[in-house]
Amino acid sequence: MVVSLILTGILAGCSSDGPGPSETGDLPQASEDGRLNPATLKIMFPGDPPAGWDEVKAEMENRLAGTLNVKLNVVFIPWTDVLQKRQVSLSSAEDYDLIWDNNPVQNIAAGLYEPLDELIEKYGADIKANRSAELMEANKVNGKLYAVPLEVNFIRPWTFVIRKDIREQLGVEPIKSYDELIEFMYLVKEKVPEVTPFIPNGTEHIGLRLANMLDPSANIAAVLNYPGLYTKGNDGKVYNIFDNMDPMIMKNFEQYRKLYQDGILAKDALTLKNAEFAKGKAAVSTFFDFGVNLNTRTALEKSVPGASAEAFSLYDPNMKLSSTYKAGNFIAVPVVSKNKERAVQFLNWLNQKDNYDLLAYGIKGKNWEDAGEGLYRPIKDNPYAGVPFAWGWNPKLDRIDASLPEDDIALNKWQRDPGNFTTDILTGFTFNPSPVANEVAQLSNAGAEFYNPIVMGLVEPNEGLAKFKEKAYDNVKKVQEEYQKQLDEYLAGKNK
Amino acid sequence: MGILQELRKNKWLYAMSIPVIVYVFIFSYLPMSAHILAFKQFMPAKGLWGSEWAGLDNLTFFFTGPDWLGVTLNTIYLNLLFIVSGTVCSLCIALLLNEIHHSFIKKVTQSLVILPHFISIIVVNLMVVNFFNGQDGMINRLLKEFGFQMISWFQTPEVWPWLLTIIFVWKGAGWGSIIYLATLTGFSEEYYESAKIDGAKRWQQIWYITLPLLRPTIIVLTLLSLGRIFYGDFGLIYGIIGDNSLLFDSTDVIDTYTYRSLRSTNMNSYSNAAAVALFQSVMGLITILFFNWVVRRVDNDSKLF
Amino acid sequence: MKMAQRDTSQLAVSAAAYLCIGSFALICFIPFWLMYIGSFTAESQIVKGFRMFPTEFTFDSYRFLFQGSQVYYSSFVSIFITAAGTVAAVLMTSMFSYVAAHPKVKYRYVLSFYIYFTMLFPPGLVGYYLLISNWLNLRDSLLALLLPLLFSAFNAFLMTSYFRTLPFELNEAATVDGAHEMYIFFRIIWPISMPVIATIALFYALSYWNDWFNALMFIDDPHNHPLQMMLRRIVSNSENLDYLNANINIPVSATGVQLSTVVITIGPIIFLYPFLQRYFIKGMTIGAIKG
Repeated sequence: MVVSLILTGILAGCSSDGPGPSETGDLPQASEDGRLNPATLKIMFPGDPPAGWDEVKAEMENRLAGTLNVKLNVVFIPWTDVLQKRQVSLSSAEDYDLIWDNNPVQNIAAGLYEPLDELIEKYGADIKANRSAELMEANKVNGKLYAVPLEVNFIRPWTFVIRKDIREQLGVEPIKSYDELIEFMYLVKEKVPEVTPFIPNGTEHIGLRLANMLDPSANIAAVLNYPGLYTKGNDGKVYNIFDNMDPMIMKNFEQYRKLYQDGILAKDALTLKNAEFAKGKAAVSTFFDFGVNLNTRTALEKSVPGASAEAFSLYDPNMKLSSTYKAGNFIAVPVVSKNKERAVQFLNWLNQKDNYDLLAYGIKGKNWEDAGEGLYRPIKDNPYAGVPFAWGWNPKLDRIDASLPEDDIALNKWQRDPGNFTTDILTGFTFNPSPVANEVAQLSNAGAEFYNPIVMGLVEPNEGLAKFKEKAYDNVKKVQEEYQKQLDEYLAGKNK
Repeated sequence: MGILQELRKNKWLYAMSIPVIVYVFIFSYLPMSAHILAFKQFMPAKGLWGSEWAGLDNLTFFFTGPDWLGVTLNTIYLNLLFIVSGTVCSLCIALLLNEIHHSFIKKVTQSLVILPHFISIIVVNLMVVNFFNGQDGMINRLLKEFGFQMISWFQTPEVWPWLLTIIFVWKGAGWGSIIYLATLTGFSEEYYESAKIDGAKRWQQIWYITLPLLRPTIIVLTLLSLGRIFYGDFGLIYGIIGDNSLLFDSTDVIDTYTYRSLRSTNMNSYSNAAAVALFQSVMGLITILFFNWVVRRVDNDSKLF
Repeated sequence: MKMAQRDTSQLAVSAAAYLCIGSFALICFIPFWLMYIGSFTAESQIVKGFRMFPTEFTFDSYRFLFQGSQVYYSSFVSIFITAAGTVAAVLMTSMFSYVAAHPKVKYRYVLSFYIYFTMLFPPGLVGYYLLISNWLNLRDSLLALLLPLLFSAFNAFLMTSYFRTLPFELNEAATVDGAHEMYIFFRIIWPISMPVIATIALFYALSYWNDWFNALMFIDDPHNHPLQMMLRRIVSNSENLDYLNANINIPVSATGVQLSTVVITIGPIIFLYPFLQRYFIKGMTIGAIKG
């Protein structure tokens, strides 16, 4: 039963109101006198409504009343359930007008999202103005834009977060290099035994992530979430760790093994959940932002009074890196929506400066204040942690938290400018896993069983890899070949 | 006797069963049509009936993998552990509670033993980590204090079937005893009176009178659980083991395996999941038909159908 | 001599019973006690681990919880669906089980199989979601919480197995007297079946009380969220205390609020059990009713 609960599928076809062709169903936009008819947009977002949401929503509707005449029915679905709920709702043709999606490829292939090119042409001047051509182009599927890309960053950095208070308490200078960081971890083990020196934030291919963290210009990246596959050096090739083990990756595996044996890395890392750092249980963790984000900071201070955090990364704004310009979040209009035009008009409205500020930072003067061009400062007693990433995110209007250290602000500014990056060879390519679906399913299982323990240092890397290879080599190989084949075809088509 | 005649003769009795018959038809049989998903290459936009037929392809990922036999055996093994220990413990608790005559103590203990049933699995998981965690878990601290070697619990797969069983019993045995206790209290004193006159000791009364009287209940409950023996207890196992792959050897069951295989692909996973569920159901059906047949020969009154 | 012997065996069994049950009850109680204490403890203390006795006692998390409006909405929903659902479910199930156990009913095993089959082949969320959401159109309605749990095959089998042990000769006599089947059921069978009816009522009540899944699937409006859904919302994201609509000026610990929510979601339902225990009465001999 559980399997059906979790993966839950849904049949739309046997219901009479299944997803129909997109021509049908749009309500008339305007009444006789030319004013827009009132409409209510039903919108699905991940997570929980931020503190102060009701007030922000009221203000939004207030502003909308005179212009678009839109009311908002925003449904927040907690992170733990949102993927399941989204699939169920989409497939049973529930009447959503806008839906957040982090990986829309499958849903696009399934024909659930409306192509937006024409509507954006007509109503979406601001949507386009805030997004560079790279961002818009790279996120099309088969030449059409099915979902508005929401992204401010053009690379996916991983950084270390460090307990600043512990570092200062131990009299350690600010961390400048990876070696110093390791030294710090050992010192923590010795001097502050009640805190685990290092709990990485999830196992997600940290071996590769780390390789890239240590040497960002090597451009090593995992291939989707397929364990054992990676790309590097922007050469249009897919590698697997069995046939072409990158020395950098191997070095990291061995290092983690040592950290584990020395009691630096959490013993039960596979069982621990992500939030350990915010609970004050770890001295060092990893994160995917430049700088420590507002949520982690507040949570940490709450759990351990007097604690503070700082970030350390090996990225440098002078690096010349490539970007695929792939967005991490999207907002789409389901084909069953009866308010498609209004939905896009509303999206456009969100992409106007004042409205964006409201949606992202809350009421000006109450929740936040302007801190100069592209910056904002949350007001300490009343910060509003909006969810712009789910409905409006764009590099032009988004502001950086001015309370971050200068270095972090600089890094953030750097990663937001598409001009700072060269175009990655993978840009615009979308892998279709259906020809190797069985292999992918088996591989992801083998990965959880054999690869994650290697990554976390729980097993001797050479032995672990041998075991992983025995179980998964065929599948790794097949997925690799299929991926390479599709990529080659794509690249050949692009060069024509 | 013909069907119509039978229906007419007992029309009031059948009428009493109509609400459930209608309800079950609407809420169980109608949506059951979704099982057809198992044989389809499901595309939501085309709908259930419009999607293409896939035959048994949806099971390929499961049966061509190296692990299907292992996880199937784990599923059965864990379920057997759960069923046997759960039944024995629930029975013992019910019998023992029945021996407590002080009415206040009885009420209090009865209420206490069902408490764990109300604690959600998220909270149980937190407690398990607190107890068994390798560095500063309570158990290890105790071991250390008494001079024993500390054990890395989360890296020792052999102990987990038993730990899971203990957690299962702790969580459910008290609750399970309610059924037996309710049945027990329905028994007539007369049976015991005559035994007492014959000089039967108290445990002899339990063994020769109470247990035989409870037999139908025990058989029905066991049969009901046997039908689900191919379904792993996902909530409990995933809630506690999660993605700790070092323990998979002994704790990975069909449900967790399928969940992990499919969650990262999201390719046609509805159909795959439905196919595996169908496999579990069919195996369950075979199991239950067999045991129901056995029961019918041994104790016809206790058969399920 | 005989009497003395009986007494010692009785005594030995009793002693064993008190000892075993006592220790098991303790094991069951301790974790609950830890949570209960935790709900009165300040966050800075909780992080250091659970303790048996509070070091700093505070009502803040409860004050926070009850200052919000969500807890009242949710309590109402939970109590309403539990009460209404349990009554309806027990009626339906007991009538059906009686029929499925009645020796006069020729097709009683067919009925049993009809029910059992649904246990083997659960509909899966797929069809289930369509049914509730699209065909019956119950989205955001309390009926979406009530209807899905109205019948449990498991409970029906428990009852059936109990009813099968009843001596049906006694209603044989009643039928001859011209008593209506319904009358027999409610006037004769029902009273002597109180233990099993109380048990089943408890089971249904708990399944209603503990349900969050239907709320997750079908209820978007927080005003219609039951308590368990509220708990899930604030446990899944400890930063989401805003969901409770409380005055945010009390500085409270997320863990404390979670624990106090656990306590109030468990509270009412554990009192139901001692209440129903009165129906677990001994010695209701069938002979007495016959007479």
